[in-house]
Amino acid sequence: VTVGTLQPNYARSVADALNLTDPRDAVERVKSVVIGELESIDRTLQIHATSYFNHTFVPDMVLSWPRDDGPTRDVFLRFTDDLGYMADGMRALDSKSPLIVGLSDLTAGQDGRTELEGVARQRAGLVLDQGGLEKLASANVDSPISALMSNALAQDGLGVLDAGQAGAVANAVANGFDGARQLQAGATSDATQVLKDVLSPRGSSRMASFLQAVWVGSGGRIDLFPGPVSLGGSLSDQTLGFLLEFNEVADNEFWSRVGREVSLAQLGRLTMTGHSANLQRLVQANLDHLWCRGCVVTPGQLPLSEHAAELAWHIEGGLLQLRGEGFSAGFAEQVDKARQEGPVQQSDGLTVAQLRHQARDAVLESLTMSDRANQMTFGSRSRDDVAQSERLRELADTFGPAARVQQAVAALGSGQRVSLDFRSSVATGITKSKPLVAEMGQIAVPILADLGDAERAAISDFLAVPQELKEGQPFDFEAEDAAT
Amino acid sequence: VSGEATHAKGADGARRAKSWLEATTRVNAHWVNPQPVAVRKLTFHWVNRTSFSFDLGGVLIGGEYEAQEFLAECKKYSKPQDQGTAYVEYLAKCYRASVTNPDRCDNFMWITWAPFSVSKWDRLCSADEVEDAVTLHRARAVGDGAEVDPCRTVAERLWLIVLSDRQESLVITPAHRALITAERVRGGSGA
Repeated sequence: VTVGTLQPNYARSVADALNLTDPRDAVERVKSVVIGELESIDRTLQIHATSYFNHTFVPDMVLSWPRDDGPTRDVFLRFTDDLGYMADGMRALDSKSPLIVGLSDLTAGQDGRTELEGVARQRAGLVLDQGGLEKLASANVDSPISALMSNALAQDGLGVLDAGQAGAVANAVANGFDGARQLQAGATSDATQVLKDVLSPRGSSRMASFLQAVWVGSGGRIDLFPGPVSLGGSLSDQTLGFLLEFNEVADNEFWSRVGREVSLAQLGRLTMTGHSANLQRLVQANLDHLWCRGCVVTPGQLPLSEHAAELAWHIEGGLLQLRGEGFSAGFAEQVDKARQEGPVQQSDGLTVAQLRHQARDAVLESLTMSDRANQMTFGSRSRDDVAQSERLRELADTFGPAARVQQAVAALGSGQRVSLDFRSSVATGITKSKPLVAEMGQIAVPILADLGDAERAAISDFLAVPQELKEGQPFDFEAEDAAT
Repeated sequence: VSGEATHAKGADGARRAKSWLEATTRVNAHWVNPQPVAVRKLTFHWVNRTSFSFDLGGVLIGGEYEAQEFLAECKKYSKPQDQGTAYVEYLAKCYRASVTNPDRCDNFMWITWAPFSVSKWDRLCSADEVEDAVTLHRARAVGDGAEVDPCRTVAERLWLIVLSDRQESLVITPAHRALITAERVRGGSGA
């Protein structure tokens, strides 16, 4: 999928812009052509154009990555006919790690190229000639790994890249990705070498961590990863974000391996936009260990995308969210985090009739009822369900029409217990219990969102921990893929 | 082909003038001869369709000069050399450019590293001097039989700037200019 405004012929567009008779028109147009090309590299990239052009020390534009904690990068547009002059100009810049965008192509064996390369590396800068930028911008079309690498180069690239060199880098990294998927040390190692050569230490380590995660996800031993190893075994937020935003990896075993150390706390820290197929796979492949202590259920969410009608995982407001038609459920390790996302206006609770209807599939061990004047907690010694009991109906009658059930305790299959608060629509694990997201969702969502029978069945299926995970068996890929 | 393009020394003067002008923080010299695209932007035509070009061009920034255009001729000389003659021809060029492309001609700068024609130094930017120059180059600048337009407007746009090597280093420090750069980048405008 092409993003941004990739131009059919970037070189031609630059030349046409520079040929405009009015110099101010030429400046404005050429800057907008370059911006369009840079935007094609990465849809999350923000470009702030200044009113300057080809200035000694004020950048033409500044790139920033709002979803990243990385620094901004100043961009300087330069003519490439005199590389010695370009090198002098680069030395005179105040900017750290400048990105020089050439308005034409470097030629093979052009005088001063070695000097320019040296200065660029010394200043942690990158020089892209016209073809080099065009290659980076078209990477989105080529493959997701090339797109990821283009973005890494735009942020942390070093040296001088023309079209040929940019293409060679993209190929080596793409081969490295395939190598990591197939546990081929040679191609993976070649890629990590290239990363070291063309990216700053920060950029190189980020991309190598990504390859390492792919290697480990593909069943490779972390200590045999042919590159700099990020120890600890757990993924950085950055790497996890890369993986989730990446093109779909239709391999549930991969996601099961990658997700062993992933927690809801980490998922909540990620910033994601739109639907991520890999997030669906990651969560489903780790339903056997992802736990939460709080779950807030919000009814009546409008469909946000074409996926909204289906059950799907999202990350929003610091919570892992399960959304379906007419509801949204946010899960968090911390109860307070779930509560924060709850409704501002609390209700009084449910009538007994509502409770009996909404909790028809659950076992409620006890509940708290109030008519504002009096409050009572009603439970079963045998831990049998009290919601459907005749005794509850009688008690409700004595309370009168103002009676509302404020809270109830439900038992999970695992024996852990969950408190359901009908006033705030929040479910919490009682005392030290850490229920699985799967269990919590199966009990809390149907009751708190008042779902119909079909939706209840769908949620129950969706949140069922796959048998393979329970038994520690590898996935049957084909069966899984056929089912999705 | 531009005359400047063949002179490496001219290139050095234009580049150093750009660097100094931009260090004032009041100039953005977009176009520097002999870069081929820049040459096209700095080229004008005499009456007989032959061409001439300036060394430098761009815009001024801030205050009373905000968004004004400028064109400059740069002489990185250590002695007067032929500047007396060249300056007179430059005045005729300024006149001709003002007639053909008035929008581009808010300011004309003669930037030199060596004073010249010192006996008439106080008159070098006068309307009379421009008129004399135009008269001398009448065939190319005005055309036979045509009237010379008043030269006062051209004279009012003339700048005569004398630089020296050491002066080039007496500019805002990198630390201070970084502050101004940050401000300009934030504002997105040069005002």
